[in-house]
Amino acid sequence: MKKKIAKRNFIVISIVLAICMLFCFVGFKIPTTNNRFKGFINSLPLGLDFDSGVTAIYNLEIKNDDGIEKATSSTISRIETILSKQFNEYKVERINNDQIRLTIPSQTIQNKFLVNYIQFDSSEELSDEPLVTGKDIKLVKYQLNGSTHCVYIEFNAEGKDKFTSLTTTVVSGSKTLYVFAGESQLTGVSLEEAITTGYAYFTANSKAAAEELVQQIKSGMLGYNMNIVGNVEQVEASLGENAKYFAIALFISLLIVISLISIIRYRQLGYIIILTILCYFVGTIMLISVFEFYQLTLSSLMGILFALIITVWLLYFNVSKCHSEYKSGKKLQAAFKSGYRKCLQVNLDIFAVLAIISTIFSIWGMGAIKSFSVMFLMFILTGAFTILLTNRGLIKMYLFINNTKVKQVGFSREGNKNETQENA
Amino acid sequence: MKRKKTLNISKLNNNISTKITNIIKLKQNFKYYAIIPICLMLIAGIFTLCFGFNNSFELSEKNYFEIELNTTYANDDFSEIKGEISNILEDYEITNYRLTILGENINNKILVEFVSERTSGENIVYESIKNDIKSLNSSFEISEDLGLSKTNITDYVVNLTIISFIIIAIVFIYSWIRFELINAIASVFVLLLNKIILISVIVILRLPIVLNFGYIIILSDMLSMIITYLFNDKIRTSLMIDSSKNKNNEMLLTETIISRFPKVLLLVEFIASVSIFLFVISLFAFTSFVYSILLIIIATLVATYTSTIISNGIWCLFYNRKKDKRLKYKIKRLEKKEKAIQDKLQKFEEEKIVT
Repeated sequence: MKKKIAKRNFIVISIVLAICMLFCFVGFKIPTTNNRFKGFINSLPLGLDFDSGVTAIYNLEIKNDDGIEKATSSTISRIETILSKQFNEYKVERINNDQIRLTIPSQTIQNKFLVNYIQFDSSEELSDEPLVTGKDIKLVKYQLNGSTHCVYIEFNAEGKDKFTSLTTTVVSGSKTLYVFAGESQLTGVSLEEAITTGYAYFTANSKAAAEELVQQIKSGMLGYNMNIVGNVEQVEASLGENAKYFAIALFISLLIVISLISIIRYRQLGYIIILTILCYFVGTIMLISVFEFYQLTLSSLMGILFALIITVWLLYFNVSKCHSEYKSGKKLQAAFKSGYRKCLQVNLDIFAVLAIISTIFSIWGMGAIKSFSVMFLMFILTGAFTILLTNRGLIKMYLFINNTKVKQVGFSREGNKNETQENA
Repeated sequence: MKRKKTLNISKLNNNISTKITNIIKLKQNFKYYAIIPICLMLIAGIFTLCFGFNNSFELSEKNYFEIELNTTYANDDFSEIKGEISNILEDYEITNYRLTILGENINNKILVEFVSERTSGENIVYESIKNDIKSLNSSFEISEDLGLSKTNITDYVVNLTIISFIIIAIVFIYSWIRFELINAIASVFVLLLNKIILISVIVILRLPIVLNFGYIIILSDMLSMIITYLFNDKIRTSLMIDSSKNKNNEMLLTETIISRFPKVLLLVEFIASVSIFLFVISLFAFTSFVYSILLIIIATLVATYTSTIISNGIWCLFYNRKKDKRLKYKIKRLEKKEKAIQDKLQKFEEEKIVT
């Protein structure tokens, strides 16, 4: 590659990066449509720390012989299991021994988040003494029968007889079996003949709908019902509405400080480091704005901050290794080549172990741990890509522009005699 | 000509590394370093028995009541009302509280949660607080009775414990494959001691245990692994060199620490600088965040201690080069490669002479 082409490439990369940064912050109305592009940063889903959510208090109605302690703790555990699949952070509090307060980063509290008593009925109206309930169910799971998404429900010995009796009633009457969760109807199934096998398949329109039905029936098997006290109310952001702007300002000031240190220490090479960091940060923001499986909370911000610190530190680590190679007598180009080759193993070790730890915590963690790990994982994976590919590519291009003027990259051979030489 | 004195961070870190290796004398003093976590654990145990844990606001049992405002307020007016309610609560010696705005427009409310240290007479105090708040605005409607709310963290703690053990197992396997058994055992000790020392320090300093404590443990573990792998990589590389055959474990370790500790210090300095900056800001803006930042600084220091002293100490004391079959195999392979290259070069020279 010639010097001119390398310079041109740098200019093109800088322009593209500037445009991407603009798209990160600036929103605008898309011409000829009614849609508005909010900017990548503004489209990141926010958690309870930075955005309003909803809260409600529920009374717990116990439909079996369990005590209030067991009922409340089982219900809270079940709700946390359901919520952790959808939200990174949420609050489930026990109120006055028999009530539960739910606070989630959403605009509504859907029934699928609640624990509602399951009952099977032959009429559209709830009966006070249902024949078949959640406690008669032995197993419920999602199944794919051919191309049909189904919910497989198997009843226990007692439940089997009850279900046979119920389906006989349905067949001779309305011919529709209704399933209720609390007071709302979950689904209605048409029946032509009575089911005596002790198990049944309920079809759903999609896999998501079937899995949602499975979760609601599993919740219903506990034997408790949550009845709302009052209304669902909006709750303000716990850190205040301006906290998100403060967080953006914090990251921008951090990037400015890193840029200044890079330029002062490594001069022209510092510009390459800045370009690398900006590509990393902007690229990751653009990538994660596509996904909706996370919410930005204070813990996630800490994850982003820590991933940024590790990535920047590894950048400096690699450059200082190249500097050591230069001090050992190699020319600039050879120093960069052997320096990066020697750093590769350390970089891979660090990224591998961090990715493993954060993946496990992202999948199985709860609350603040999950928030932190999800963001950290996304940023550390893009950090690995940035350091191993982007940074090396930019350095290679830079060496076409300058591979002899050592002072312009802040390298020197001073202090070579006093330091331990690193050999491989 | 006078030379300008400039702060050269890398030279400073190099000097610190050399001094540290002279001071710590890992092999002789390892038994004292290993006792430190045990002592911390014992002291923390005594503190826990005497004083219990110091739970933060989120984890404590809280009293709460709601104030229905029955009026639409602008954002600035909310701040004013919140300020007045705060003054009332502080008059009744309630300092650990939180005010949250619920609802919208005319349906808005203020949820007042507080941790009370009174052991009796709460209802009488509550009646007085109600009267004082009612006197601010007659349209306010306040809850009849005080409610009690608790956050359940049992599932959270169990979940964190199980996953931590899974991580320890995976890190052990990875370290064994990547380096050697002693390194793997040292990594396991580092991860366990991180948690023990962190919890002990928090209990001894009576810092409130926040809900975010989980990710601070992860942070500490990740940092320990980074530092441990930095040292392990350098040690493995040094062992492959011919001249290391005449050096004992302590000499190799000294060279490793002098070589790699400046990089570790740089990372610690990064984290510490950012944390101190955030700490100063949170003193003025988000006071609830102050303890989290302090915990991050403590976690960083603990991780540096365990990975530099404990991990390297275990390796220094227990590693036996003669029993390291994997190293012998790697050195043989390297020698074979070098011999093959030398043979090729010799052939090339001979062909050159012939032509």
